[in-house]
Amino acid sequence: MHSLAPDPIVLERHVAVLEAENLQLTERALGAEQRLARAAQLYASVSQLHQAADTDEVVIVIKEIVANLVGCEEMGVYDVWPQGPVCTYVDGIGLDADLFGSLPPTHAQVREGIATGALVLPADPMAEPIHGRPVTAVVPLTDQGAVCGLVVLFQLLRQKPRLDEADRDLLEALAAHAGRALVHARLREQVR
Amino acid sequence: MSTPKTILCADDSLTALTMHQMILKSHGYRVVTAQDGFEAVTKANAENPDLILMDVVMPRMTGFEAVKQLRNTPATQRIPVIMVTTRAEPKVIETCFQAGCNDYVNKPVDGAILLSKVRALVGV
Repeated sequence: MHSLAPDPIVLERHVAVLEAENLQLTERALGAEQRLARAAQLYASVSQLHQAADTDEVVIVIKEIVANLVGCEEMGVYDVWPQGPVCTYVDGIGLDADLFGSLPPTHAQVREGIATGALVLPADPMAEPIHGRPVTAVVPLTDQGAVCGLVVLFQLLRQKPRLDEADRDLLEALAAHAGRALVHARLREQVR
Repeated sequence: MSTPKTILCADDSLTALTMHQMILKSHGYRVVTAQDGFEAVTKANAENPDLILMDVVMPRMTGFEAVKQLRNTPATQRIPVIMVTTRAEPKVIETCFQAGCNDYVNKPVDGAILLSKVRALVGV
């Protein structure tokens, strides 16, 4: 009479297959969670920028995005005057407002950001520091193609060794939406 | 269908609150928010959440002070708390646990890590 007990070797193979499938599903689920988190970051950032009632609130949201969502402990928000171009300090985190009151007009990455309107991510943040601080990113804030402001990220949080692809996406969203949000906020203030 | 778990998110940053809400709600949690430590304590007493996500630096009352109050109140002393901290130094982490938190996440918050810590404390 044949035994009805399952073959242990066959069972082991089934278990191995199931474990491999489980691992795959876990990795896919993790990937989905990470994509969701990135989407949530982008949505939260853009929606808060456009809900801001005035320029002060827009600047607060910019600071929140950079500090909390990117992970930066030194950053400055600057007005850009196209006649210069001159960058004057509006607000920031972790900076001496007197020392960082304006950006060096000859700074290569600052000039590149203003000239191109594109995000600048230096390969080496210490290649051209400003007042000894590493320049991690230069984010031109644009409205209809014109640069109306600049956000400069200096020192990242200690637990954040470098910017990644998700940060790039977030900073590009900041560049595209914060400029417009600032212009609209200023227009509303003028109307009032 | 089981009742969704309630998470109280306390943070003075509306941007961070919006993000946390989106992540947690999409995974079936009910989310209540507070924008400072004082409001967090008030809402914890009112809502009796299953978990509190507490930012450290907030106006009116810091996250540390809020957790200490919660731990000194019978109705809220058992609610698990995850601190959200900017600083990752061991001394800061030690302060979080001394205040009475159960776990912590560093900023910038990784959504996947946040969810795994939430699940570990309250389940899905």
